Amino acid sequence: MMKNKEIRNYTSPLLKSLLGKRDKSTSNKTKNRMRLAAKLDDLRKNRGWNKTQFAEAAKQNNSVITKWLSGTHHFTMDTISDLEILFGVKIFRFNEDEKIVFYKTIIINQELAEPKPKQRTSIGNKWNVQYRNAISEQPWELAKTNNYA
Amino acid sequence: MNFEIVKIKELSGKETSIYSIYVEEYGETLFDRFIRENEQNFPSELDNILDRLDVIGFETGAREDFFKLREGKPGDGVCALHDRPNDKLRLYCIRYGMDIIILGGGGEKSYDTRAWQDDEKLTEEAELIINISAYVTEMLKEGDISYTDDGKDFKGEGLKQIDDEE
Repeated sequence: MMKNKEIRNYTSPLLKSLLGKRDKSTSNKTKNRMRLAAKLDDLRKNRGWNKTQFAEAAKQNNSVITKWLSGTHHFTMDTISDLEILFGVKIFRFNEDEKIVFYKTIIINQELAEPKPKQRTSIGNKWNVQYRNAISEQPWELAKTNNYA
Repeated sequence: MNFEIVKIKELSGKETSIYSIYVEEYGETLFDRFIRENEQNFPSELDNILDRLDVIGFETGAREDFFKLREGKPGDGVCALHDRPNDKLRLYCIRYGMDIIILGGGGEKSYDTRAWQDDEKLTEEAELIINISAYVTEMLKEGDISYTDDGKDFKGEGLKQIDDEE
């Protein structure tokens, strides 16, 4: 009998497709709640507290601690601040040394042609010919208001 | 029922190996079947479950508090993944410490359902995963399934169950 048979890796196209379609914003919120719960759990264990002792220290009911550690709880900034004091660590970390850089995105919709070298003579200048044609096609009134007349 | 314990590649990471049960009769895993059954009616709940499994596999491990424990028989490891307060989709699994979980199926848990015994579909899914847990426990005892050296995986002939009757 092959006692050391390895487990078979299973790839699921259905799962792969759903994983790819997840909304990034919602996904990030869910993941951060779980990360925070895991961090609190580690801090609790580090103190050597069981969940009841954690509840007592945080002045909360056991059911609240269960919710916090389940990774589904939506923490307020105030609760996080209280927990930082309780554990004596920064849970929500601001990195004071890090400079804030503002980026501005400029979207270029049209590529401008390089300016053409000035022509020394206006006669035979292609641009001028086009310009003259444009002027000649203007209705009289418009041309008048544009001082083309 | 012929089945095989398989490792879900997309969800398994350095923290936890996430398995499901490939059932020959269904031609898919119990977890794939769970997705198919619920993707139309519970897309948001399903995404939430996938996010949670993703974090468990790659970042946090299968921490006890992420699961609603004691959904099966005493000591059999059968549990349900905790969901958001207003969600109604229940996924059953078996937890082997922080390192391995086996995903089963599940279904809608309506507000008037207090326990899986109150709902036909949940009863079917819960009983199935309870039976699988009993099978794995038996295989572990007999040595037909064992842990790999790093404790992150199962190995052994018992990963595949084929009924004797031809």
